[in-house]
Amino acid sequence: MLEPKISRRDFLKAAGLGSLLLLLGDSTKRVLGLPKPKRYELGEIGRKQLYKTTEVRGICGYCSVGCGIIFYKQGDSVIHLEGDPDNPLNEGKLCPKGEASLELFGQHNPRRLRTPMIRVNPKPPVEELKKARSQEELKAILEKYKPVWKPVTWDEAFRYIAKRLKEIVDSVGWNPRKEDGYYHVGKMFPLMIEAGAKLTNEEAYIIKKLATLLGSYNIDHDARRCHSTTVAGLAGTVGFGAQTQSFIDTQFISTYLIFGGNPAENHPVSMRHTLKGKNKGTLKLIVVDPRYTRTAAQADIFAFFRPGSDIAFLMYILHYAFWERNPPVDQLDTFKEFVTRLNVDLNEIKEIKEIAKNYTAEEVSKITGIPVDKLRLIAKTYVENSGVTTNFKRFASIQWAMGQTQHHVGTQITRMSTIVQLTLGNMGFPGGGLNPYRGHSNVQGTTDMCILSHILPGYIKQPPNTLSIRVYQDWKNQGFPDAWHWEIPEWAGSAFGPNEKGKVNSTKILWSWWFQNWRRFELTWGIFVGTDPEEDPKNGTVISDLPIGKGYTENNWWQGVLFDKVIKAMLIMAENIAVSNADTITAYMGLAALDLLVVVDLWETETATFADVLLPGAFQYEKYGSITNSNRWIQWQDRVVPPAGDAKPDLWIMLKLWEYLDKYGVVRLPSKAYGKDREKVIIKHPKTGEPILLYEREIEPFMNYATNRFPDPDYAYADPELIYKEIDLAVDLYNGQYDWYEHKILAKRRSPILRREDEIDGILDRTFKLHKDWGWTWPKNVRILYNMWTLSKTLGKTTEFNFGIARFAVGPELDGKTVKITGETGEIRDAKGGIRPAFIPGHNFYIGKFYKRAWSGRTDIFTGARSARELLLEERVVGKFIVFEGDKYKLVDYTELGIKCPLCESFYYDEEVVNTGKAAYKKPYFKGTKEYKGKTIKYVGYYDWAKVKDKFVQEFAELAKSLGMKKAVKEMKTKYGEWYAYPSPDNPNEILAWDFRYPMHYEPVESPVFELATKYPAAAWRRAENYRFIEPPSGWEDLSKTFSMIPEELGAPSDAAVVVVTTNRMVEHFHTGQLTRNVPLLAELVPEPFVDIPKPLADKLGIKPGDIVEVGNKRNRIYLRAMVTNRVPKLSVNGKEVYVVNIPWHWGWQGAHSTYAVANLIADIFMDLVTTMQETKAFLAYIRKASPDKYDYKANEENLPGVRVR
Amino acid sequence: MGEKAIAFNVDNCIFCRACQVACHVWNNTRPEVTSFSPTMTNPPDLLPNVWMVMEAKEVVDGDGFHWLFFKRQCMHCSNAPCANACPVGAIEVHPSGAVVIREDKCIGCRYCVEACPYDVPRYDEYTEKVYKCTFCIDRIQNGLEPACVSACPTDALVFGDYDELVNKFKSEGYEVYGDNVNDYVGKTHYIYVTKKYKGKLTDPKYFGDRLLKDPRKAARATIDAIRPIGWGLVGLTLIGALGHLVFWRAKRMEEKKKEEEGGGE
Repeated sequence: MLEPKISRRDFLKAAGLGSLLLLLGDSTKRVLGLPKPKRYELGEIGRKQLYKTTEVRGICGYCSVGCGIIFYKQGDSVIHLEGDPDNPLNEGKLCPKGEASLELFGQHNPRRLRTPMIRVNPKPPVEELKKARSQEELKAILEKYKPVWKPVTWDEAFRYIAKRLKEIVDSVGWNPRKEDGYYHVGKMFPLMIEAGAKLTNEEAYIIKKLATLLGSYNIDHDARRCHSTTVAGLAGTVGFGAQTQSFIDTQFISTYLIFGGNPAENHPVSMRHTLKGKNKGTLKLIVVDPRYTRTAAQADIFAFFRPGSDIAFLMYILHYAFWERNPPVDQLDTFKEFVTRLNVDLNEIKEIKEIAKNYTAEEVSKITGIPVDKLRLIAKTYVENSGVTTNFKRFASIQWAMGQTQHHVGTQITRMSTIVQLTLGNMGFPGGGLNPYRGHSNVQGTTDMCILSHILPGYIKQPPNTLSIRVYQDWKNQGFPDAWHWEIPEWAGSAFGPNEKGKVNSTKILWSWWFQNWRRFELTWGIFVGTDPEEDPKNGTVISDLPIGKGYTENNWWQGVLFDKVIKAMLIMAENIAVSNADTITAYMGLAALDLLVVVDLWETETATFADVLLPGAFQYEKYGSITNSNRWIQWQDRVVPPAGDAKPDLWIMLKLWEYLDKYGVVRLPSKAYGKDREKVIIKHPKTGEPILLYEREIEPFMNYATNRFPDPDYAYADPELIYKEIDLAVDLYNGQYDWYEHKILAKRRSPILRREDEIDGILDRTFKLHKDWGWTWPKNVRILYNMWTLSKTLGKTTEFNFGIARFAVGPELDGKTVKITGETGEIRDAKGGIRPAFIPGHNFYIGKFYKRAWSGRTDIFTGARSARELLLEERVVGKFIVFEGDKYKLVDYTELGIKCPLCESFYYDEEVVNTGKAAYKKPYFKGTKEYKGKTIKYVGYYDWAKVKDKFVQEFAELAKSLGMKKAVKEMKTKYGEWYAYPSPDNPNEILAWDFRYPMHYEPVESPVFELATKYPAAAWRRAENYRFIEPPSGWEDLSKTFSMIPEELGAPSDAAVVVVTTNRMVEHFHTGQLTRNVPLLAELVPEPFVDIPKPLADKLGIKPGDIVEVGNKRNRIYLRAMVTNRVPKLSVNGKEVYVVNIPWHWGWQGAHSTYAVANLIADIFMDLVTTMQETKAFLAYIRKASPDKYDYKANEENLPGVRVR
Repeated sequence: MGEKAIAFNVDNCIFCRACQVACHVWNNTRPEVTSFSPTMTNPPDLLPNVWMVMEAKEVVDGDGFHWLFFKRQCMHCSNAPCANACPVGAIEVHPSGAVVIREDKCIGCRYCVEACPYDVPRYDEYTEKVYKCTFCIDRIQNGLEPACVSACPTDALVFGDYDELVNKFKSEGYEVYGDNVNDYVGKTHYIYVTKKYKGKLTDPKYFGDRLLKDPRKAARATIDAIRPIGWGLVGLTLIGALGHLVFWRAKRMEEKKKEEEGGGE
């Protein structure tokens, strides 16, 4: 199809001929039948001297597809970029943002920050902001207190920050000494860190490490607002909260339900792969969305639905499968076989089947606004193309993004998607699974590294209490065992699992996994977690350098500032919460109330309006580091050029900050306060109980990454490759990303060649284009999660692997055996040097969390490390094993055992491990009982809840009619002590409360229809932060007036219409807009803020395209352009006409193309019951025509004369 | 180089507009500071600095609602009326089919603007020259696909040998616009193909306002007489050696394609 391949020599020959011709005279040319048209140099038209460039490979810094980019530069001047043709994710293609990202470099972008700055004028006061309930009022305040900056040096900036933080930390008496030991309570640290998903893995890891060493869990990042409910919903159900398929794999899907996402706009290059299937005729695309999106334009079936009715829609798919289909899917042998393989109890299926029975097509149509016929068509298409109905030959898959996640029941929605996939046999196959597409380039990585307030890197539980630390010390003393070899001490109680060796359940396995990871942190961070003396875990003094508990999140932090008065300072890196926080005025008040706000960003952002210190950071292309894309591929980014001016990569900033904080005495490590500088690493003799000293290790936190290996001065100080290696050791999930035997960074692998069939996972790699030698993927380079059956079921083949006797560091279950392989196994470097399959056979849920350790009871993790410094810089281990001989023992060196790579450890997975992993169909989020006014509130499952459900709903509806919605909530919550609770019909002293074990439909807090709002009441009031809006703290009474649970409470003006609002992103922009409004190439496409209005509504209200409209509610009022369109619907919901409008939320008042019309000002912040996710996808507002002078959009740039001026 | 075509496959377009940005990036043209567009098309029209525009249009018909996406730029006619009109021979029709205005020769007379039935060339008052899409002549002559094609993530844009491409789409059941338009323009080297909107390519309600059934302009001045004068303005340009790295990429793209085609699914 293309030009035949020309060699470089041919090319030069042709070029030479071209120049010769030019030398001929006009008349000669005429005679020769010329003129020949001009021969152009590459890039001549754009005046790009490409032949003088060198190239740098990188990964696109916008969305999470992970597209490769080749940058062309001359010195430090980047003149061009093209898609990387070798990268299997984008095959040389890019989206408009990727293309335009050339303009992000400081050389092309004068708006980039270039120097640290300190504010010299007052910040906007809380009391003034409290009254700002409209765009005009907000604008007046923020312009009055516009920041005035003084440029400073980095040293001045750091000294200023450290000094202020020292004062703040002193003022709250920050001290690790507690009554029962030495530790910090993570939620009480006065500094909150918010660090964005644009950071590299190394940066994300370091910032969480830094916060933890400060004693703080008040650290979180934007993943909280984007996919936290996905992570919680999926991890709680199948093990990990991640995309199970890859973008490439979407081409093998048979029916692709795009429900809550819009990949054509937000992940455009992913559509490349999806459309391959569609164009082949093997993939049917179904789009169900409140908007007719650009993805919808590609759909085979499209349906509008009402925002916030997600669970009802998905429930109908189950209803169809269980109650309408003949035979019902649960009677199929394929179904029974599949759920058995998932270790699901068939009784669990009965319970959800019972729930699904209520969601008939008619009822779901009333809730969602989707016509009955269309519902049936969609459900039928979906179910009949699923694994259980096609004998695992075809698979249906679900894609989503913020559409499912951003609801106060987001966790329930994503769980619902998972349950649909589990039920229909669509999980764990190429072409089938779950596809939550993540937003930022590295949000998967920053989530994995857990810049989160509730978990440590690799999804590891933070110590919940001092008891867990005592049990941990006891676990260490048992020789760092896996769950099968661990005996939980009697004094530990029942919270850790069965206390009998060999007997396991998932609780025990998870705890042993968490403990092994705490040990990884101890060894690699140089900290101590345990008791002194080590031999006495029960009575010794608890000393923990890992803080206790959980911190504030990105959504409830403002309550921590304003109500709880715990947070007094914030460090915000690469985030712009003044645009992205929902009910944004609450964020403004929170920010304004801080004693110190430090913002690190590329630009002077909206958030910087509230800052005391503004530091210039670097973009992904200006960094070295690893990046994890949405389907978990870890790829390496090389620095293209350093950031302009004095700007620095975040890694450098973090480590410098640590240096200053340490110097100024802000770092107060519990082990230091106690004086614990050595750990005696002991293992108790299993027979005699005698503590045997394995070795002693030094306790000294490791935060010095200056290796001088990089020529760039900033990276000479902060070696990202050293941190990459540390992550491999410290974070179990990422263990394997570095090859300690061959000393290779696997994220740097760039082989597009598929494996041979006889290599590990070779058949799958070849058949389904897994690209297993491109980068590396967690867990253990597995590309399709839970891929346990593809070989046997889909391809009808199995393979084998032989564990040669004593050749691998595995247990007796595998040693010398041949195992049958039915799915994808992944691979690891064995401690004895070879490469072997990781998960045998195939794998199952909780892979990577459940495993056995061949060295249980015999040595420390990695065979021990004398100090973190020695471990990381010299890669030196202790290497001592205990060999027990009756009552005696001896110590042997690892080399005597044939071990070549102790850092590779000895984890393995056998059939027993696989069969312990269970898909959690049922997942109660509330457990046990609590006392309330002399009665017992008991959290119950569906069968019990069904006894009182109707009565609960009935009483609520009656109270709502007489008192109003909010008072009805308050009345019932006060009466019964819990929301979604009602007295037991059987026991007068008992109140039954729904335990949320299965998803059900809950109306959004702001519902357009009273009948639905009372029939399916919002669940929000289960969560304390939400209930504060019903019963506000003193001084904040107005909070209860800021929302409207039904249209009647909105108080809409008479010339306005009440609408359901949903918010979204578009391909031309990115999140808070700083990365795109400041990029003229993208601003050209969509410069101004607007709202999509259904045409019939616009006609009714006299709104014409481009008019200025007011969109408002009790929270705020904003002014936008009217996009009058058929792409947003008028729906019939429960017999009522409901209009949906849509607002892209990319605008704010800073940078180019600015306005004070921040969409999130009118969005609500009712939080998910599990993760605190905000409900930005469904809320109420009114809309009407407004006077054009209300509109304050400014372009802040102008057209210059000429074609190429810039 | 043989005759080439760029095919815009209407059915595959997701209106991401990577092409519009890629066009700017490659040609180093200034992005326009625009204002709100009620149709999403932005800028609403071609400009001297915007050589291609993605257009979006909402249509409601008996089948329901359609959101149509159209790529607008120079059609690169074989009998290019603009080139025929140019008095100084500044518009060259290349063997590949590319119709290219030479910036060094253009005298800004705007005869081409008058002659173009598709309303494409744009005059820049600042440089006093006329600009339009070049078919990425400085890429295709050097073995690269045009920038818009190279960017397009969903292969809605395909570049290839003219006849091969036309035949391929026709044999797959696509309707094709451009391979035989009329005597005024000949055929166009930008071709438009669809299966989804068969019979609607030249219907003005759908794409026909752009894909004219019978494109022609009445006023073609007797320019031919004065055209030779322009030849004197030819400047000398030396072609330098091509950087290995850029060239390497072209080769890789090539090989990739081959692998894909040869490898089979």
